[in-house]
Order: sequence, then C-alpha cells, then structure tokens
Amino acid sequence: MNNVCRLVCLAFGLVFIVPGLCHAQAKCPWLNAATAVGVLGGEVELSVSSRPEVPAAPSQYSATDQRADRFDVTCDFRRKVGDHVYQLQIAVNTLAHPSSDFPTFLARCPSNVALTAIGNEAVQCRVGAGAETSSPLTEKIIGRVRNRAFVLTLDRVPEVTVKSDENGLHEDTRNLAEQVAGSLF
Amino acid sequence: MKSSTMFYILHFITRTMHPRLSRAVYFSSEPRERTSQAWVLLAICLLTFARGMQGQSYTKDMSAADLELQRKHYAEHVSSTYNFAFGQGVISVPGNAAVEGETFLQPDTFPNAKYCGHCHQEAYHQWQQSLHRNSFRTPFYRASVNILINTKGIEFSRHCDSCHNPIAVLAGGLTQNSVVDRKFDQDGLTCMTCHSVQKVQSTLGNGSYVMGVPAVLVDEKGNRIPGIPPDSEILAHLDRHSKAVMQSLYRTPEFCSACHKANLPKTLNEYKEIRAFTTYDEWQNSKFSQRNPLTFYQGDFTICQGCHMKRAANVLPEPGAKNGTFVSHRWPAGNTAVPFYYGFSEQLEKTVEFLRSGNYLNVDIFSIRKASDGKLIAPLGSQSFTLAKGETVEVTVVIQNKNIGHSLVPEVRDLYEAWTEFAVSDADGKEIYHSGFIKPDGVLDERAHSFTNRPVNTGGVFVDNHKVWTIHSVAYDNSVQAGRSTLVRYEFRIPPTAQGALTVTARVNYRHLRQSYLNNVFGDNHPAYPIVQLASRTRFFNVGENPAAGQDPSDNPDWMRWNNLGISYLDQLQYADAIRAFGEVIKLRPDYADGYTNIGLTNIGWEKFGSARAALDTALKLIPGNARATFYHALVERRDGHYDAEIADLKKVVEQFPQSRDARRELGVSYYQQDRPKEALEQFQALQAIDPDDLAAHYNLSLLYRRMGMKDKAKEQLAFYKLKKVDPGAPTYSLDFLRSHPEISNESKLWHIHSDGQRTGAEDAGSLGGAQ
Repeated sequence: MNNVCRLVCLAFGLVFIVPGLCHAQAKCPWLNAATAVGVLGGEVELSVSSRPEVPAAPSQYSATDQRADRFDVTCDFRRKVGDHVYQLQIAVNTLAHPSSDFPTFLARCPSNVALTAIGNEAVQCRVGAGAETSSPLTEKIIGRVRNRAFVLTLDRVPEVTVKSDENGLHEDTRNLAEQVAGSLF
Repeated sequence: MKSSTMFYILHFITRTMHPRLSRAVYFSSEPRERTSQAWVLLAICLLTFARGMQGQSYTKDMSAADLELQRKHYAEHVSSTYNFAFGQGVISVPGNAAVEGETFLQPDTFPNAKYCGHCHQEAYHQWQQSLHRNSFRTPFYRASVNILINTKGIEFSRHCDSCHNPIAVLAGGLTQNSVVDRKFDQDGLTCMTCHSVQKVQSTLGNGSYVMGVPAVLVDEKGNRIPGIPPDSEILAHLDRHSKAVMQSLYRTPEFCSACHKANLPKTLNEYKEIRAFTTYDEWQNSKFSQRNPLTFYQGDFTICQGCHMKRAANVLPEPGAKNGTFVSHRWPAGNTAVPFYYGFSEQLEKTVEFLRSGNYLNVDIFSIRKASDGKLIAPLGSQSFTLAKGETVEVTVVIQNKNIGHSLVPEVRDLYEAWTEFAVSDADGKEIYHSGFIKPDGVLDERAHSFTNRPVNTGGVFVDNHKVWTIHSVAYDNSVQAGRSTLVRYEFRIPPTAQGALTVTARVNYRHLRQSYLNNVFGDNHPAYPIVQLASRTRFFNVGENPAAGQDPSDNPDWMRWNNLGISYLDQLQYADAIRAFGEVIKLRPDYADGYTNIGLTNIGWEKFGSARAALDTALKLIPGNARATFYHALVERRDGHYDAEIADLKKVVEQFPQSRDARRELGVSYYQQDRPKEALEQFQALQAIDPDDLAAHYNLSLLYRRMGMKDKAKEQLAFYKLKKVDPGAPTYSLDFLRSHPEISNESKLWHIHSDGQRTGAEDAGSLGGAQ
C-alpha cells in the first residue's frame, strides 16, 4: 500500500466513520439499539422517556415491580446523517378503555392498511411530506396488545433500501412492529 | 486515541476489500477493546494483501483463518457485555445448545431463508407457514417467555430459546445489554439452523444439538466452507452443496429429540430437574420404534419424519424434490393456533387434514350398564338389549391411541386442550346429557374428561401462563400413551317421556390452545380459536328393543375392542376386570398369544404369579421365543427364585431388542442381585445410553461404580439420581390444588364417572363381574 492510498483511506475513515459513532446509554424495553442500528443503517442515539405513574399492570408483574417494560415508555432512536436526523420512535401507552381509547390512536393513521398478526390489531400508513414529519419516507404502525397501544414511527433512511409492497409500505417496518408487539405480549 | 484512529482507518480498508467481513466487525466503546480490534483488523488486512485475493469468489477470498478471526473478534465483543450467569464461557445454559468452536457465532453467518428460497421455492413456501419458522415470534410463545424474562431475567430464556431461537442464543443476544441485531427473530428456526446441526449430543433434549458454523458448500475434500456464496457457486457444485446441507442424521428420530424432549433443569427452577415432555421417549416406547418388545400392538417402523415430513407432490420448483415429490417442510402436527393467528389458511387446512388422517385415534362406545340390574352389555353392536324410559344408564367409552407415535396429547399439555365430548339427545334432537361442551365464554366445561394435565406450584395453584419454572408437582396427567387406551364413563338418565331413538355421540376434540391461555395472551376479547374434532363415534339407543346390529366396518374388531378395554382397566389398576376383558379376547381369538401375555402381565401386577406363569407359558407355546412373553416370564422366574432362568429369559429379550429400556433395566437388576457387578454395569450403561434420564440407571450405576472404586463416577451418578428423583414432598401441592378444585379433582382418580349428579367412584364400585 503506498502513501497516497493510506492518506485516502485515512480521509475516508475520518469523514465517514468517526462521526457516525455514538454509544447509547439508555435502554429501550421494546427494541434493542442494535436492531435499530440495523434499520436506520448506522449508529444511533437513544433517548428514553417514561411515565412511571402509568403502570401497565398485566398479570405477570407484581405490584412493586419497577421494571421499565411495566410502564409507558417512549424510545427515540436517532441517526444523524449530514443535516438530517432520521428517527425511529416507539411510544407505548396503556389504555384505560381499549375499545374506546384505541380508535383515537388509529386516527393518527387516517389512510391505513390493516395488518394481520401484529399484536391484537395493527394498521400501517405512510405519513406524507409536510404532515407530521419532514420525510416522505416516514411510516407509522399503530397497534394494540391487550390494553396497551404502541405507535411506531420510522423515518426511513433513503440509502437503506428495503422491499416495499403494493401500497408502498415496507416489510421491515412491519418486522419492527412485530418485535415491539412481541415484547408487549 | 491513536489505536482508535488506526481502528477506523483499518476498518474502512477492510470494509472496502471485504464487504462480508466488515459486517462482522463491530464497534466497541471500550478503548482497550478498540486497540485489540485495531490489531485484529490489521492482521486481516495484511492477510488479504499478502494473498492478493481481492475480487475473487467467496470460497477463495474468505479463508478459514479470516472467518475464525472474525468470529473471535465478534465473540470478544459480545463477551464483554454478556451475562455469564451460569459460568464463564457458558453460552446456552439453562438450555443445552452447543456450537462448534464453543463460542459466540455471528448471526450473519446463517444465510436467511430467502437466500435458500431463491432456489428451494417449495421448501421456502411451506416453511414460511410452518411452526419451525414461527417458533419464536408468535404471541403464544412470546407471552410466556416474556414472563420469564420479566420475572427472572433474560438469561433464563436461553432454556427456551435453545430450541425456539437458536441464533439468538448462539449469537449471544439473550443478555441484558445485548449488542445483537434481532432481525433474525422473524425467521425462528430458519433453513440453516436445522441444516447446520452437525450432531446430537445426547437425547436429553432442551436443544441438545451441536451447531456447526453454517456452510452451504464443502470443498473438494469434503471440508465445510462457511460463508454465503452466490448462486453460481452452488450451481457449479451441486454435489458439494448437498453434502454441506444434508446429513443422514437429519433422517433420524434422534435429530428431532434435540428439541422435542425437554426438562426443567435446576438452573432454571432452582429446585430440581423435572421432566417436562418426552416425545422422543414416547416414540421409542411405541410400536413404531420397534425398539420396545412390550407394546400391546405391533406396527411398521416409522420415525418422526415418517408422519410429520411425508412426501407429497411439489407445486413450486424444488431442487430437493425426488421424482416430483418433496418431503414436507410444513411439519404438520397439532398447532392450529399459529396458522389461525397469521392467516395461513393453507397451513391450517393441512394441519386439520393431518389431525384427522392416519387413523390416529379410535373412539368406541363400548358398553352400557343399566342401573336396574348392574349387568354389563358389551360390546355394543354385537349384543342385543332393551332400554326403558326413566332408566339410568352408564356408558363406557374406550378411546384408543391407535396410531400416534407419542402420547395424546404430547409436549406442553398444560397449554393444549384435548377432551372427550359426550352428548345424548332424544329423537327430537333435544339434549339429554352433555359433557365436554364449550361455555359461552369459550371456556371448556371444567368437568370434561380431558387428556391434559394440571401442573401446580408450591401454593397448590395451577401453573397458568406456562410458568414452567414454578412447577413443583402435577395434580393429574390423563394423557394416553402411544398404543394404549383409556376408559371414560358417563351416566345419564333416559327421560320418562322419551320415545324412539336416542343419539349417543362420543368424540375427541382438540383446541390449540386452552382458552384461559388465549385469554392471557390476547385479553378476553379475541376471535374463537379452532376446535378440531379428531375422531368420533355415534350409536343409536332405542327406548325399547335394541337388536344386535353386527359390526360396523369402521370399528375395531370385537377382540380388539375387548383388548382395549382390558388395557384401560389395567392402566386403572382394575386387575380383575382387566383379566376378564382379556379373557374375552382369547375366547374370540384363541390363537392370539398377546391375549395370554396380557393376562400374564396383569397377574404379575396383581401379584398372582402362578396364574401369570400359566398364561405366559401358553403364549410362549403359541409363539416360542416371543420377546414380550419372555420378558414377563423372566419376572415370574425371578419371583420364584429361578435366577438362571430369569437371566436367560432377559438375555433373549435383549438379543432381540437391544434398545429395550425395560429389558436392559431388568437384566441389570438381575445381574446385580446375582452379584455379577460387571455384567450389571454393562446393562445399566447400555440403559443410560438409551435413556440418559433413567433413574434406575443413575442409582444402580452409583452403587456399582462405588463398589468398583470409581468414586468420582459414583458421586456423579448419585448426584444425578438425587437431582432427577421425584420430590416425595411434592404431591402435597397437588392435593392442595385438588382440594380447592372439586370440579376437577374427580379427574385425578383412576376410576371416576361423569354424570349430571357427579357420582364418584366410591359410590359405585361395580365391576365387570356381571359381564354377559
């Protein structure tokens, strides 16, 4: 390897690799950071917010249980590429009255496709430019597992190419939603 | 910083030269690790440059050394955060999964199913809807494993996931601070999990396989070449592809035993080792294995794959097909819940078809007994009788596990529902009696005769939600072993106004899963899950005269009906009735040696050894050297103190059936009693090789090793014996449960009757004494 090659390699390394590195401290109870890295195509920052005053109280938890997955937790995975921040957000909410509360969540996905076999029920939709996010590649999946609703929002990174269906919706978003629902069962 | 910089630079170079290699290179937040990573990368780069192989095919540009280096690096990275709760370097405990190289394996080394499905379209299509593909992701599994994760810790889930998600276990993903991308979860048991298994460690189950590093090609010398080559490489060497992904092991029942057998180890329950399910052992003890001389009936040799991987014409292109047929990669069995949830209508249809095929079960409405005279009228169809209005009638239903190679129901019985539904209606269709109905809320009638079990915890509470680590006892287990039969009694009263024919139907139903579990998974409001009728029989009872109608071609022959009744009585410890029933068998078939053997073995159970000998001698006259009769004959010889004859008999059985657990065990005992320790040792070692859980083998080997001065081995066997022996204090938890559940407690009695009045066995100790 000659010196020119070494310099080119060094330059590329500095430009493309070093800035992308970031190490999350918090943990998301619904999805691990490595999986989010896979979907967003590179290292991510994770912020976690929770509402510990809202215990989900499924039968498997004791009254004194303080584990994170017992509470309504929102996870924000962010990957910065240039000036743009791509985001995978998973918000979980406990419903006091699932039959009447869940439709208010569904309203966030007005033009949606019903999904089979994700949680008790789920829908998927594309969120257009200028709506809730700035990216035309944003998708949402809103689902329910027993008395808990989850809202998964994914700003797709353009260079991460994945297969889409006839509605232009993506399989990997559904796979993520399945993982989230799985952790809520 | 210097090492970090070098790391990034080298990583970039490696990424450019080795796209696949770069996938396995992981960033670490630890400076010390980065330094080591940098050196690893440097080594890879130097190797690559030295060989000048950039741009060549995968088989050449990825040497074994490269791959080992990648794996080493990956394993170091995972190990830095892995919770080695069960010992440093121990990956899979409480499961038994093992992997070649004995360290973590990158998940990307497993080609995904789509990669295989590109050519193997039929296999891929079938697999997508199969239980193997859906082994991890289903709500039915996640709901229970989540409880384990949330209450004990994710490290304990390695027990379940050694079979449900081997890649997650072997990749080191099941730890609190996992650094593993779980995108493979959707594929569960993907093609290359099964097709990478190199051997089975033992038949202990819990994932007792040894996983190889996945390879879809071997080289010209037959060495496996890990990696994911392009199709062209495979197509150029189809023979090498076949050698890499197919092994004769995959066509053995032992292969299935790696996961279709499970125990609850002490590392999981912090109590003792408890057998969970033993499907492989059940098969080994069935007629289909031809390894057990003691089965009541004989059958053709059939392994697990013979029923669950039958050949059928392939619809889609499939290079693995032979003569237009391909072995099923659906593995049809009993699970209707998964295809129902996912909307896999094809899989659901094939599952129901499978459950109803194969003549697996026989339902026989065998006899009636009128309360007015107490006489048994049997077998129905061959006997005439009269019935009067207002009469109370007891009906005997015999259910035979005729052609299932394992128990009804197998595996996680606490989650499945298989039961007898028995209904009587009058000529107008009005229901007179009904047991085993489904209530409006979807829950099964608690008093139904159910072929499931009731595991309980230390509080005497049913272990709901499959929290198996809390199981301490089983309140009852009414499953029916392969080839055996069970007797279910129903009593109803004919209405005083009844006229014409009563319709009497007995059927065996199956629901996957129990309603309370479905409710736990989904909440109360969910679609009704399928109930499949496995087998049924209907008879019509006239109020008045009922002439003998002759035998229905769909029924077992009368001798077999009596035989099944006898087997049921024997299993319910009603020896006198069993002998009478077997007596009817030999009246109808005096040439049937097993009829006499059945009388003999019943008498042994009843400790009437003289009568046993006479019956067994007759059986052996009919078929000299018959292994089954010879085995029981040996027990009679032992009782009579004819030790040489006892050993000679058992040796004959072992010669014919070297894998007979019972013969090995008894011959070991015989040698032990005759102070022939070396020969005893040989038998118990052979027994342990057949069944590594056999308690008699553990106990006797501990004694024999100690006697021979092998203290360590003796200590080890004694420890296993103590670990696996049933806790004598545990049944008290079962009693607590049964006391608080009178609606179910009747089921725990060997002899019980189902009636509107819930009459108990104690109130009616009637026997077969009045048989016509």
